[in-house]
Amino acid sequence: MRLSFLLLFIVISFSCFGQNTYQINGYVTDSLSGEVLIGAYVYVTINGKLTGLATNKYGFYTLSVKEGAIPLNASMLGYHTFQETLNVTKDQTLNIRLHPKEYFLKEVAVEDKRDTSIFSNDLNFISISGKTLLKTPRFAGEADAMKTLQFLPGIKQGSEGSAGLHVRGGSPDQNLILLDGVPVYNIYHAFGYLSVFNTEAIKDVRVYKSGISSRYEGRLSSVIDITLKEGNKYSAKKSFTMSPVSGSFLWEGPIKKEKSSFILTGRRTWMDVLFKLANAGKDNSKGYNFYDISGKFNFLLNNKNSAFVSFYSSGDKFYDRLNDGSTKSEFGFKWGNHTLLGRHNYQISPKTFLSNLVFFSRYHFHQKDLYKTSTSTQEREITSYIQDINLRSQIEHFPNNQHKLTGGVELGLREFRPELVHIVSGETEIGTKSVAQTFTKSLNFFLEDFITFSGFELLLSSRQSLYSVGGRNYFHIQPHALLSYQIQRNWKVKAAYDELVQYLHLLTNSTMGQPTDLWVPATEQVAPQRSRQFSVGTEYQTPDKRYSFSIDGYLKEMKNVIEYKEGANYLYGIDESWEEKVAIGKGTAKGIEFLAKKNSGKFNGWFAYTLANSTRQFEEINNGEKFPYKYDRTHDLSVVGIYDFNKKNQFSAAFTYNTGNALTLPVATIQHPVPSFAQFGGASKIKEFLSSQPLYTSRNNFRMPAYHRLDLSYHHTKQTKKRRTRTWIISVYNTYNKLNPYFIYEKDGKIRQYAFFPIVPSVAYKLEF
Amino acid sequence: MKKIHFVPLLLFLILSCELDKDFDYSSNEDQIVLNGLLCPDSLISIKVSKTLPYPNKSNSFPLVENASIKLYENGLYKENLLYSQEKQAYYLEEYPEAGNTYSIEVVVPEYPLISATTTIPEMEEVSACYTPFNIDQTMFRGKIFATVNFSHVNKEDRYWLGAVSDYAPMVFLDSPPFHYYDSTEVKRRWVVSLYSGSSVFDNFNSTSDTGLTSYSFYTRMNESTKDIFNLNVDLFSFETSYFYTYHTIKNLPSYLGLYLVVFNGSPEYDRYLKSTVLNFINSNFENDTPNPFVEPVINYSNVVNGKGIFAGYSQRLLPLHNNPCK
Repeated sequence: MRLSFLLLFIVISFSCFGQNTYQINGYVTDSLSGEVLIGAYVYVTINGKLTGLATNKYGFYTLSVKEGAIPLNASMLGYHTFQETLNVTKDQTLNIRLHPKEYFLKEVAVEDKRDTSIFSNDLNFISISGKTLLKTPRFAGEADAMKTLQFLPGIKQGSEGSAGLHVRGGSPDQNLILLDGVPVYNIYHAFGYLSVFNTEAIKDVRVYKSGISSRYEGRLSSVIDITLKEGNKYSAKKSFTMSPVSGSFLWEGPIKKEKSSFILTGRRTWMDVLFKLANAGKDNSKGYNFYDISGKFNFLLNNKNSAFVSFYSSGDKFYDRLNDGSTKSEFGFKWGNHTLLGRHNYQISPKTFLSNLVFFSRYHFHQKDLYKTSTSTQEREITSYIQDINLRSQIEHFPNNQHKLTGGVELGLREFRPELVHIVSGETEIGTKSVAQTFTKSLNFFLEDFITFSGFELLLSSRQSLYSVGGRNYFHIQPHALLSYQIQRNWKVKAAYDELVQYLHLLTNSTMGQPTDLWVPATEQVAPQRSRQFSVGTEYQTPDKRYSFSIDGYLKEMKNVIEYKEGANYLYGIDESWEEKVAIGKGTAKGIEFLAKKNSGKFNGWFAYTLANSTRQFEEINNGEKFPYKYDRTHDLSVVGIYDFNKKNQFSAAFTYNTGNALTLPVATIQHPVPSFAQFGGASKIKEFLSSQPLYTSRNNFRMPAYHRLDLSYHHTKQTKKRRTRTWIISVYNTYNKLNPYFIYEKDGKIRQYAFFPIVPSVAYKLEF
Repeated sequence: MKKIHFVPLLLFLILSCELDKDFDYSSNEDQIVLNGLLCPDSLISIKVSKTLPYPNKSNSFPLVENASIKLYENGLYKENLLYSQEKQAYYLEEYPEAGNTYSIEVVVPEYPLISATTTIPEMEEVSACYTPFNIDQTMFRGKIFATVNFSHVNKEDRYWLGAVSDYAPMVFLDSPPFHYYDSTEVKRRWVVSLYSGSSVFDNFNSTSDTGLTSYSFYTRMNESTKDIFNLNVDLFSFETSYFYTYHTIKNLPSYLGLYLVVFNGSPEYDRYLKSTVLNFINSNFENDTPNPFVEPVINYSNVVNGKGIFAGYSQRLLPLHNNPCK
């Protein structure tokens, strides 16, 4: 009897300690296109508990499971859930194909929406799929990623016609905007109306506002990570889209079926053609055009190796010319972005994933003024650019399902040419100012640890950066921490802390904000920007997952922000460098963001509201007193609704309302004393101006009227007999014709406003085959 | 869609026309403005007025004639200023003194108490001379460089320069001496812009770089020498069609002359002038149209509970016409 018990005990013991752990890994892809799916949840049920994680940027997942029969699931918004019971006896690879649902109804996701104990690789970001971007209302028939982001809490464009996004009270340079991991410096065509990204080519956009991973180069406000599609691995597809503004194409398909693919997109406006027609026969001609083109070639070398190469190029050109025979004048500027990158991914082991990247990125701007008569010539040209070369290597290691380690190194070389001004008068060059190129070098190490335990998720990361410019070296440690706790199955609270350092600035004119803005490096005189941000929040999702709600509060303190001094002029002369024109100061931003979403059903959408405050303070500006940031928006409200009648018809509407921008206006006209030495004839302008002048009392003392508009869009899709898909897109931008002021000026004793866009109805046509 | 309704579409487009229109803007209630520049060469005089709504461009500002103004000198009450209808200002028949600190308290009915303080800086010993520059063949045009020499430069000095000319119309004759100046029509005329030669490194309103027009309003003194920059003085003026030639400047009659104006401003006056001059440049950028790309400049004021400027300065008028540099 005792021997039986002993044998039984031994058998049981061996059974317990003999259960081995194995790795299941692979890639999750779309079953129709073969595109890898980012953020798909892969999980198993162990002892009644779900455990797992989300795929990384390359669709890779790895799970540690015990030997035996294991039910494995994979799910993602817009896809049917994958379920399979595996008999696990060794490490194995399982590539999962998810089938799209009939209706894509739930596209906007806060990434932590999950079942109990399912943990994502990345916390605290908002992701929007390319499909959602194509459904939101359009401007002049153009779907636009950056415009859609502005409907999210805490994110806003500066003003109509101005470039740049403002996230949580920060300036445009404080957002790191990545296209497949490559920074893009100017993200707008048409003076801020359309982004430079062709939405047809976008797979996913993720926005990080806090708890920002140390993988990303420091920017004080946000990271906007845009991932382009890789191309359909199974069949070739083409599409053409025509809108009143531009024409675009997309061509994708396999190079070798299931092994390699490509995608090419291009877009060009025909506004210059319309301008030419309008100006035919006239002495004065104006014109504007833009283009963007991108390509990506994706290769699955073997089960463990993959690589891709991609390029991107965009350009804008504006000109205003006069030639009446006796006088010739020309004013114009052009700008553009160009990127080239190569990436290699390697699965070192079932638990370890390596990614290497090399890229080149360049942004340039050029302006020309010419005024020529038979007797004189005046000409001025201004050029500036910024370009990067960067090498990056990152390794992800998954010790178990509750733990992920990420580490890497990044080496960067950046060249700035902030100012090259060339002035010619008559036949004589009267001045050239060339700020010598500035080369900066950076070496970064980052380490990140993600752990889940007992309902907690903890993300700790740190980026160590060494930045070298001129004879000066800056070394910084940038820690990040994010802690969340699942109170109940569908309710979570979280808190985050970020310290960020940014080694470049964007000098922007407070009155404009245009491609004329100047990218400048941190230098020996102008230190890098720094920030600390605290944020707390809570998220709740209804048990059926149809609705989700979140509230987030943040406080951000910024140092070494720069701004042009009072009286400084972007129109560069030849007497001063940019460093002499700027003041260095600090900023504070705080706010509460509320987001409510309906995630499924025929009707879905979201409501976003932000209550915020953002200020700046510089010793040399506004008498050293704090003043509102130009884009301080006390109230910011957005409502987006998307209704799918059926597979063929879809309607969407978006309403946005926000407090007007702050700007500086005179409060009165004031009498000035004329000193005794100037009370004579001559220098009449000085005397006149000294006796009467507009009175400016403080910076950004005036609020523009509240900005609001309603956009509508209707899609009608039809399959033709030749298996082509035709879509008509009817959209109305600014439906009730609210003339939101773009800028305010004084003329003939009156204050006037100029609005950029009235109501803009449009019709676009898309053909897919 | 089988039917497109063109009429509503056309209406939409028509409605979209007016993008440029009046903006409903009402500026603040009127504010009290004190304007008082104290100089040892002039009687104490302060103007009190009210602001006008913006963008009123009138020079007829409402004057405040019922204010009570107390003047303090070095912290001690001195006297109340009296209003003069003729001068349209409150004045005292006294000259302020360099080195003294003056304060005023102004009571205007229904307004809070208004006050301001300034110290009149001393003026160091200074001399000036000129050297010729860019004289053309006709000798009708040309410039001279005026060089200013200070006996001592203090780091807190804030010098500004200008030039004035006492001129008279030239009368031409058929016979020698072929021309003379009409002594009955002598006038004084400001001939250059203001130039700041402050030894105080200016972090405030620092830029003078306004593009092609490049008014050089800020030139910093070389602290290692006593000399300031060379000031360009035009001898010819298109405005009045008068001129001095390079040769005649040395032989002007006693009632004519070319003078360098040097004044040392208090910190308040220095800041005030810089903000005022920058606003002037940027508002008259090209053909009297404002520069849309320039950063706004806050009008400096040291007046508490009011606007304007109450500041002191000391000045010298240095003859140039008979002082060529050796």
